[in-house]
Amino acid sequence: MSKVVDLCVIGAGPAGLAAAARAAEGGLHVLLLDEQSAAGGQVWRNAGTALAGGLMPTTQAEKVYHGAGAALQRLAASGVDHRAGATLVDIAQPETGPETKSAPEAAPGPEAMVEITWRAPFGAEAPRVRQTAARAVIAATGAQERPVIFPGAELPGVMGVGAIQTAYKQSGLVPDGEGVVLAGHGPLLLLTLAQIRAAGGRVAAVLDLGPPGAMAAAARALPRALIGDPALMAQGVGLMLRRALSGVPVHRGVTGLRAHGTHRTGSIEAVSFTSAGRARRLPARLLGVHDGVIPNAQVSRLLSLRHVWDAGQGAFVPVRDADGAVAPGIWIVGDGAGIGGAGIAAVDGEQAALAVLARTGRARTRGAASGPQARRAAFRRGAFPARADGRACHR
Amino acid sequence: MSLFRRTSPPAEAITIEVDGRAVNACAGDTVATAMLAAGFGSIGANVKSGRPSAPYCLIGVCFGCQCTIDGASDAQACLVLARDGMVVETPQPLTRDGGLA
Amino acid sequence: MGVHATDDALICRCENVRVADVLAALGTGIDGPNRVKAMTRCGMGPCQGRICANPLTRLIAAETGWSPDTVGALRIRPPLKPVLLMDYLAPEIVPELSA
Repeated sequence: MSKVVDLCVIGAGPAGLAAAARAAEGGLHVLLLDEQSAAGGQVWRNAGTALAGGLMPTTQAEKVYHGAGAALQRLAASGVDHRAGATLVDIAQPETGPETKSAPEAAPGPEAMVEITWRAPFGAEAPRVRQTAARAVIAATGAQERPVIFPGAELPGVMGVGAIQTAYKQSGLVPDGEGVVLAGHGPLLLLTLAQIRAAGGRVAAVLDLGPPGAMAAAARALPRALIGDPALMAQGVGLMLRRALSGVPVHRGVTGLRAHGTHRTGSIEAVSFTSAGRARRLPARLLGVHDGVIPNAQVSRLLSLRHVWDAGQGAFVPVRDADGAVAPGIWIVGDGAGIGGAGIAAVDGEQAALAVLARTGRARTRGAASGPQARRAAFRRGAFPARADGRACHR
Repeated sequence: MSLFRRTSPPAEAITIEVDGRAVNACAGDTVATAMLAAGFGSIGANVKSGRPSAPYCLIGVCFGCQCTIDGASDAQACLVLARDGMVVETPQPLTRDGGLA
Repeated sequence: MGVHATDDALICRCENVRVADVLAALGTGIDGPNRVKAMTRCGMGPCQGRICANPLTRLIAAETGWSPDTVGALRIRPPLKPVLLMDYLAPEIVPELSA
């Protein structure tokens, strides 16, 4: 394994896959580090197995994982050195002393390396901590759910709806039995409800934690929030939601959410709340919660970058230039730079890779990203980060 | 009773060991999804209180699933693909005076 | 911050820090998430703020009336994930910086 690479990409979701493949196709030596056991990030988790029919019918998989197959094939053909299960430990930027602040021309030149410290995959030969010098880094660490804070949230059995999605994509698991309650708001909550019902699971109740009208807005945003081609998904969304919600009690305007645990195991056994002026308590073995998604910001924070608060997303996003660069030799792309979904993420990754190639003198003019997704991604990289619905947020 | 049931076509059956017990799993599971499918309510434990913890995120963010896998105590079960013969040890809850339960 | 984040709710599940503990820290006059972290240990656990950072900024903003940009965020240090000491002490070093 070479200890020096042209580009290190962190994260093998839609953005990272596009960035790594594009750079490698342009002739760069690319190391792709991803802590998940297979490429695809979260939205394309277990795409290989799914598209081969190992998770759901292939016709369904092709819709749910739209774009994933092509991205994985592209990765395989590109020559990227992909380390699945490799965890990022540290990123050290080229030294900038006090003299560079007053004299930017003394700043590290294009040959300055970024030092990546990473832990080799589980089961790798010791020492598992490795170091690689990279001429450029593209961080594509994606999103996480915004943690929901309420009494009892830490009890076993309380999880983000994203975890329910992950359990399904990774191992085909569906919530089983009684006492499955979903609480929160946002498109992902509705999607999870629909998936559980479609798989034959029972949802005992949905607790709408959003302000009035939020659930309707989430339903409208669902196509854009879904992976793959929004147009494809939109065809079935309305019907899917109507079926999903039929027969499931929905409690609106919920306040005072609290999870209660058993004495014996400590796991959740009930959820209490107030809705329509009434105090309620429902048995609950599994409580899926959701309050939107936010960038996974550990890397951008580690780099001490300037961030601005995006009110629409309710999260900080790193300040980037037009190509997604955040520091000399470092780019941040995809949902890790601000929530935009898989389509925009892929374009974002391509754009940063083109910038890296240009920096090395290897850009090809025909490679520039184009089309509506590219325009949205470009707008998104401007001073006013765009929300998933395409509207700008004021800083 | 497990919180989850399996719905995908049967994959290759494997066996992992959790706290000395043989647990059936499937190729393609992470250690976390294998344990959830097998009915484990918790995987990790809070370092200070000993309170059992379980996955909240399943993507490597929350550390509810931190345990020892094949002797490595820095393992997050949701990030480790389950392999036949893997040995998992969950953290023992600490008693109030710091001893192991 | 959310009407569900009552005083007894845990904002930091790793270190068992309640919302009330953060409010008490703010009550002593400290004004930012990193000072709150130093005082309460919020953000010092295994997840290193992945769970509590966003709620913490929003909680401080809600309590103080300051914008989140003013409040700021938890500072993050390496290692990004827990690493066994024996692994950390013997990394493969990069000797070759060939042109």
